[in-house]
Amino acid sequence: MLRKLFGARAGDIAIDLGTANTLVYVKGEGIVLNEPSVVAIVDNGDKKQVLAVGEEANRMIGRTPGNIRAIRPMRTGVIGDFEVAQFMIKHFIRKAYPKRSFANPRVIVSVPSGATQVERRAIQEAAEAAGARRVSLLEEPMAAAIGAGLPVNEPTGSMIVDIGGGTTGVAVISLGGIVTALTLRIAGYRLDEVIAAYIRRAHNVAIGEATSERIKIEVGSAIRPENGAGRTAEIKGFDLFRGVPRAFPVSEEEIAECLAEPIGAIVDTVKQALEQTAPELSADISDKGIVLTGGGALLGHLDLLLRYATGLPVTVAEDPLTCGAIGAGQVLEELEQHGDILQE
Amino acid sequence: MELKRRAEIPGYHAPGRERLAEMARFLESLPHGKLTFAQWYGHGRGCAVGLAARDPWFMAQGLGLEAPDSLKDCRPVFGGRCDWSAVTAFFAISEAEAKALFTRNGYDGEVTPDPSRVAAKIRRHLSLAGTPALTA
Repeated sequence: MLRKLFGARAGDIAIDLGTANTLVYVKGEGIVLNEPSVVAIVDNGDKKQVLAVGEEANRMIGRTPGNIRAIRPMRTGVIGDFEVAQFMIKHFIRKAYPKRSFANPRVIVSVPSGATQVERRAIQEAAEAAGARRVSLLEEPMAAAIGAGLPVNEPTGSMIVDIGGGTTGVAVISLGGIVTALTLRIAGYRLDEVIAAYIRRAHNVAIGEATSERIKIEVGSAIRPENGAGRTAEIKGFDLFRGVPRAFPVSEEEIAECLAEPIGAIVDTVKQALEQTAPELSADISDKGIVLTGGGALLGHLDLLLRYATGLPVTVAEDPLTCGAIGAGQVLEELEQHGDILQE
Repeated sequence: MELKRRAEIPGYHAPGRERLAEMARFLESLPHGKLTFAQWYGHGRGCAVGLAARDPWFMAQGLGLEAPDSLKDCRPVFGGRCDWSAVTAFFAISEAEAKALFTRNGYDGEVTPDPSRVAAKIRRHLSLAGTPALTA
């Protein structure tokens, strides 16, 4: 009875706090919120005021007047701006669960495997300050593996490559624990940055974050197309030479070439993780292959490139964008089964 | 007494041809994996101009980088000009010549050619001076 009154009433929450997007899973309901991890701030001299959070703030990126900044408080998967991150977490918790705003929920937050103790503490404190009664941390690759349906509790090795906005996590999981974990601070945003830098240099055109992300989605590829230039995407930007807006096409081949270096770093990290894996687990992985999750998993032909590079079967999870949140939510739903993998 | 090359004299402003020759020398001394035509400069890698803009000799000649810590905003600057305009002014070459020497178009679409290949192309360009402009 008491549990019904105080425990369940609080409405436990799992948060996939990503550099790009934050997803909130509410126990018994599923994913109830999926919004960009962006906060718009009005800077009035020494006083900062939050103007918008999430989707609304995201629409302001690159379109704000001088005194308004649309910022991402998460940098490479960890808190870059504590104060703003705290406000964002609080906002998302309240938005996801408005009816129970008076109650304090238990919160599970996923963190990159490579996050330092200081970074983990910062995330924990931000969630506590946002009103959580108890905060547990969950390694991101573990959450993604559970969300992708991998048999994490069985005595068999599973390899997950989780390519988010700020970090790429590569992990080998067996018996409910992470056996090998490597974190690379190169992921979706670096790819966007590389595209913007390439367009600026090769075409003398400045483009915004949204445009470079669109190019990545439309013609981004991990390997050069076989038929010459491949697909093309029409882009609009600011011509730095003439000082006017300009529209022009970019090819898949160009983008594949400019992405080769960061993609190569991801492939190298996967190979490094395989080298560090015990022979028995390697044998399991060579049978079952590698599973890709996170938004980066949707980059064209990345699975094919990893297959060439490792010689292993590679599959993309069914819904790679929500795997982390679904996995964290599943831990929340089945605490008795998965409780051991949480860090308090 | 040790004789210095003109290029080594402090305050000496070299003409574009000499800057190109120095660029060829600079590229031949470049460690493997530094050169990429995908960006001006960022995370320790860059194109020939971006890397040269962090070299003391080229810096003394007035070549610099704006926003060197931002991969997407980083660009070369020279004499109040920026981007390709800075490159053409610094080396006293046309934009077509600059793009033939310093973009993937001049190297069969390769974004990361061997620096010695770029150095060889610069030397060839210098030896062809006075002939019709080199293009991609």
